[in-house]
Amino acid sequence: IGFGNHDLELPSSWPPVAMATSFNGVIRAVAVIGKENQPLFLETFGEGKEGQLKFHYHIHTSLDIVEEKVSSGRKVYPTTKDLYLGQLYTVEDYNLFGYCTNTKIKFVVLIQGTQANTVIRSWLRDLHDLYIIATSNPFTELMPNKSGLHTSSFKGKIKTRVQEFNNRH
Amino acid sequence: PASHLLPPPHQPPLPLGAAPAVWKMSLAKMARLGDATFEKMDKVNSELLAMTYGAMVTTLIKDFQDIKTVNEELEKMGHNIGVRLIDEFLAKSGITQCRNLKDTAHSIAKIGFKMFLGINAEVAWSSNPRQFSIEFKGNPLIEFVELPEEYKDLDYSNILCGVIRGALSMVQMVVTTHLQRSELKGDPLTEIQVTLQKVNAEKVKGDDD
Repeated sequence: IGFGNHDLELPSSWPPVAMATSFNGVIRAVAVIGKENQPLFLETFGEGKEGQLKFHYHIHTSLDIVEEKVSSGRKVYPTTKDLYLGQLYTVEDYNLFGYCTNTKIKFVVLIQGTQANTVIRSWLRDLHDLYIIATSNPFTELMPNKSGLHTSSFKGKIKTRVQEFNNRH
Repeated sequence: PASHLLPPPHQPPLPLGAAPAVWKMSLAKMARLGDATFEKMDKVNSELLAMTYGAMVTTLIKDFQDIKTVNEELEKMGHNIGVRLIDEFLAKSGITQCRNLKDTAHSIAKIGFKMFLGINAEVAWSSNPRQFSIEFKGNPLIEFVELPEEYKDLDYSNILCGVIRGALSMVQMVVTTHLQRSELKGDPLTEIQVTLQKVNAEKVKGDDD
C-alpha cells in the first residue's frame, strides 16, 4: 500500500497523532448496531472500565455520521454496492470506521492509530460474513434479545480477528 | 441370525439392467450405486433445507418447551417421512433383496444417506450382532447451527433416526434408533445407533421358513 514510513525508526512509546502516516493502528472496540440504532454487540479490547465507557460514547456519536453517509451515499450512487463507509470521524488519537449493510445493520470499529482503508474494508467485510453465519443460527429466535451475537463462538471469532489485525506488524 | 428380508409385495417390476441383489455387491459397488442414484435425484439448496429444518426445530421448542418431547416429535416426524421414503429409495436405487442385517446397514449408509442427503456414511458394528451404527460427518441439517447450553439435551438431528425406523418398518424390520453422538454436541462425528428388535414374518409367503 506504500504510505508507511518504513525508513524511520519510531520509538514504541511515540503517541500517534491524527496525521500519522504509519499504519499500525490497533482495534480498540468493535460494535454491531441494529436497524433502529440499538446496540447488538459491543466489545472493547485492551482498555480498562474507564476506557470502555469512552469508546461506547465515541461509537454512539459516530452513528450520526453513519446516518449521514448512508443517506447521502444512496442519493448520489443509488446502484453502488459499496457497504464500506470509510472513516467516520477522529477524536484524540482514535479513528472510527463504519460499514452499513443493506439491511441497515451497522458495524463500527474504533482504531487507536490509523490504518489503510483497504485493510479496514476487508476486515469489516469479514466481520459481515461472521455476522451472517452467526445470525443464520436457528436458535437466535430463542435467545434473549433474538440476536445470535452473544454466543461464545461469535465472541471468540471476533477476538481472534481483532488479534490478527492488531498483530499485523 | 440371518433372515430373508423381501421388499414390500407391491414393489413395481424392476426395469432391465437394474442393480443386482445387494448381497452380490461389494461395498465399493454399493457406494458407486449410491453416487449414481444421487446424481439422478432432484436437488434442493442445502441452506434452504438447513434453515427450514432449523425454523421447524425452534418452533417445536417454542411450542412444547420440554426438550424430551421435542426429541420425540422429531422422531415421529422422521418416522412419517421414512414410511414413504422407503418406496422412493427402493425404486430409484433399484436394489432388491437384503440378505441380512449387514446388507441392510450398508444399503442405508452407502445408498440411502448418499442419495437423500449427499452424505458419505460408514457402518460401525458393536459386539451385539443385532446392532449397528451409521456414522458420518458433515450433516447438512446442522449448517450454521450452534446448540445453546440450555438445549444440550436436544437431539437436533433426531428426525434422521425416525426416518430409518420408519423406512425399515415398511420392510418388516422393527428397530429402535438413537442419536448416539452428534457434531453439534462437540463429537467428531454424528452416530445413529440402530438396534434390530424383531423381524416381522411376511404375511404373503405361502411356505414356512
